[in-house]
Amino acid sequence: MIEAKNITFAYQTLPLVTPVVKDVSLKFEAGKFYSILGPNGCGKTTLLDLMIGHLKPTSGKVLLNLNGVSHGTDILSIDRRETAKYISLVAQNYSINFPFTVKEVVMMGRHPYIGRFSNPSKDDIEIVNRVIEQTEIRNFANRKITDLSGGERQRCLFARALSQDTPLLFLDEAFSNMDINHTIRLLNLVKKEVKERNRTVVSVFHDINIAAIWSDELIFMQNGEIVCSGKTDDVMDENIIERVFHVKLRVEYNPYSNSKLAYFKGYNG
Amino acid sequence: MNISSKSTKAIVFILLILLTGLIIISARMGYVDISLIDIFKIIVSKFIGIDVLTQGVGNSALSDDIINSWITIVIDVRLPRILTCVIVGAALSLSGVIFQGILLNPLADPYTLGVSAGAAFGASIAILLNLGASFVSVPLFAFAGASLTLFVVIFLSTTGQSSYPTLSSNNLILSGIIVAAILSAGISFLKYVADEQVAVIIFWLMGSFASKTWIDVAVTLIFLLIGSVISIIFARDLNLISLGERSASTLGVDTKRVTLILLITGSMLAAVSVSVSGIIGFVGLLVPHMVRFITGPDNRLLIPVATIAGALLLLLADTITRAVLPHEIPIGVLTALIGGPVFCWIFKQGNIR
Repeated sequence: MIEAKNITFAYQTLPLVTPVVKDVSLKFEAGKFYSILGPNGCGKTTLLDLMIGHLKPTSGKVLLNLNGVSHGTDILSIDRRETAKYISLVAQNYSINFPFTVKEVVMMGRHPYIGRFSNPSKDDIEIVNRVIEQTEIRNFANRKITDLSGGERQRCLFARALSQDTPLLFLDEAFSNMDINHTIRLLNLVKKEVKERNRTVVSVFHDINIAAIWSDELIFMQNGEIVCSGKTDDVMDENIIERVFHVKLRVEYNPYSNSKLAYFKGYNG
Repeated sequence: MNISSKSTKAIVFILLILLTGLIIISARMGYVDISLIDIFKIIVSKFIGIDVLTQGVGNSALSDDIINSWITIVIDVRLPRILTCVIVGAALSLSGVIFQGILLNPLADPYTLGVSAGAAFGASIAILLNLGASFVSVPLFAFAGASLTLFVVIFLSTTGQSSYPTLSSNNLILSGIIVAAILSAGISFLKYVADEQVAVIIFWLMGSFASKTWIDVAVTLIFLLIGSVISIIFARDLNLISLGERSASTLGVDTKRVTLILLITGSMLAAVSVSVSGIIGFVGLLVPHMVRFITGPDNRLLIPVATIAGALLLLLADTITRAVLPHEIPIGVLTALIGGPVFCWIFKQGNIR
């Protein structure tokens, strides 16, 4: 579906040019939920920016294999507006300075489908209404986004990305300030889209257990490199996580969550 | 973003009628008292070519000399001033909308990027070198100063970025402040060495629409028209940019290109305004703000409404200083004296975030 081929990226301004992303090759397939895990500053967000075509890799390529584009098209070779029909992103919480209503913000997700001077079509309005119902933001749909709490705003931005209706959805710590109830509901919502509509989700998480419960595959990153990647059950491993995060932990299968979970030890004297 | 195009058209239509009315009333007001009917007759005969003047203007006892002087007053003195003012008001307000949009900051205005300081510096040099005698050189220098400043500011804010440079709003605002600070020191220095020209520089800096000509009208109008078309084309992209650069980019906006185009457009609007009328503050800051209360933040609605509202407000201010006050005070001083407190009030109300 989307594929990174030996991508390397370095910010030119650093005095010593150490790449933030080093020779990463990845393949994301349709109908799967992927999670990227790694310590702060390991290059997760930069990797996402490269995958969505927001940053240009210093070397290497990101290729698309999707219906509608010819096989193996370089993501940077197609028009941004066209890319927006295939890839959407929920970024980390971002404060919006202008008092758009929630509905207006969700409608912005339809931008790639609406002509420059045309108004939203019936379909656009229908999709926006459907997404507003699905994400349960109906009761503040007419409020200004500037008046909402961080978590509520984040749910609106999530709805905005869903209304874009793309085969690929990237989540960059999209749940960082959402309560557990809404986190679970939205994760189930996207998981359902992945399974029923064959979409692909790639998410950056900090919570290893949330990632483990919902992801089909995990990718561990450290210092701009992929340390390990594979099926969640295979790579949810004490040694791998300890090597990546430098923490002591125990990994066990939990029948309630039906997944392997990581357990940590708290302070005891 | 379901704006009803009907209500947009209605608001724009009402504002245009108000503006036309104010233009005519304003043309009537002034030192020489000419009746509204005569103003109409003069305008109709001059612009539409129907000769209604021979049917007699005002009191039929008036001599041809008086009628001719009225024509000169209306056509060559009042109308160019009024129209320049209308266009500059529109341009300043429009550039305010643009800057607030691309800098993601409701407090930005045409002067945030130092564009006005650049124009003022250029004009000060022209006046100091005594080029002021020729009526083109001051505007030309002002324009050159503004453009140069803009390029320096863009240059400063794109260096030290990634291999895929973006124009971040923080960088632009900071570069603007730095460049403006240097330029104001430069202006102070020019004033210091200017001797007897210092009064001319100070007066120019305070802004005025006195003795504007049809050339000013034409030049500013061309820029305003180009600026309006460009900003309307990119109005929706500007909406998306308020979601943040990364999100806008994944929604199909070429953020760097759009930012650059709008940055140049907004700066040119500000530069051409400053170059013909001096520094007139608060229009570009306040008008988009007040309009946003009514229209909401959608730029497709905000852009046309704020543009006309800016024209309306600045003409009102200029008519007050020209024809109502016993003594004409510089328009820049008046807008700051009225706009400043209004801004403080809005700010204290907490409507600016």
